[in-house]
Amino acid sequence: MTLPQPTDPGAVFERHRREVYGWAYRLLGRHHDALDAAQDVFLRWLAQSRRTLPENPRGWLRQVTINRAIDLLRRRRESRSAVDVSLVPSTSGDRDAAEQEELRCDVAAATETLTDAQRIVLIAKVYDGMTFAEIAAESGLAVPTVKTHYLRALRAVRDRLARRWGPERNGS
Amino acid sequence: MNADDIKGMLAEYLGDELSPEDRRRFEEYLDTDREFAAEVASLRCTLDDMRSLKVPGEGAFAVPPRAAERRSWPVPVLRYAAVILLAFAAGFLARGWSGGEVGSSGAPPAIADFRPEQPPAGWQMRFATAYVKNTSKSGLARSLVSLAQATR
Repeated sequence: MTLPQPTDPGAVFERHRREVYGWAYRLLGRHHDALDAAQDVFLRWLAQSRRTLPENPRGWLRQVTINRAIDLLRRRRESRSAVDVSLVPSTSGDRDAAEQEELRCDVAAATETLTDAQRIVLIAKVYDGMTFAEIAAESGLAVPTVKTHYLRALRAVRDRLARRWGPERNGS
Repeated sequence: MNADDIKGMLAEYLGDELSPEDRRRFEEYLDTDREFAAEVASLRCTLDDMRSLKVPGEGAFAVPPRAAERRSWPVPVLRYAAVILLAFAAGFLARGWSGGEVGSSGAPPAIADFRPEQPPAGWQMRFATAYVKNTSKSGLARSLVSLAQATR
């Protein structure tokens, strides 16, 4: 599953740029904001790699990306404008763009309220499809702790969504 | 395996990490505990919602047309510059042949109109300086305006 991690900044960028962009986009919902966040993250990676190279670049990048995205969300909260929906592929049966944006905002807002550990575990599990054991190895947490974080994070997001969309959306 | 053992498998169930056998047991238990089944359904729905959030694909990384146009700016700008320099050169040649500025009518200006305090190289130098400072297309346009004002 785990490939040898590149240490060259260019190789790290090539290998992880889509992931970094994806993590940022899922939280930010805007193409250019996600690109800005990704750029910041890789600049930080460059600075970090000159000092001490993180043992797990992917985990480091995920954590920094999520934190950066949360920072950007907080900054723009009061001046929220229309999302860049032109880049969201639309196919029949998809939610319409406005509903996607509302959902994304609620998920992002819920994610913002989580602890760092809960946030990392949730993103890694839901969007990266990692196993609990992989997340535990990457984060240095025990597997049962990872599972606990996962369930607590998931419940927090559910409760946030239920407040706006109603409990019927959540199958209860 | 009692109810608490089954409920303890919730994270693995939602994380799709249960073995087929455990998954069957878990789902059989859901049929007997409606409250827990509702909890599981709500969390499953939340997962579906989160996963439904889309991320632009490869196209998001493509250079937008305008950016692509900007990236290729040196070729047309150099082309414009070459044309302008040719025009300058032609102007200098005309000046040399005529011994002064070429008027709008094409006739050589009178000796009294010649202004030695403004050497011909002055506006060319100003243009070159302005152009070096503004290498974008809009900068080039500004430079051309400056040039037109200087040569008026």
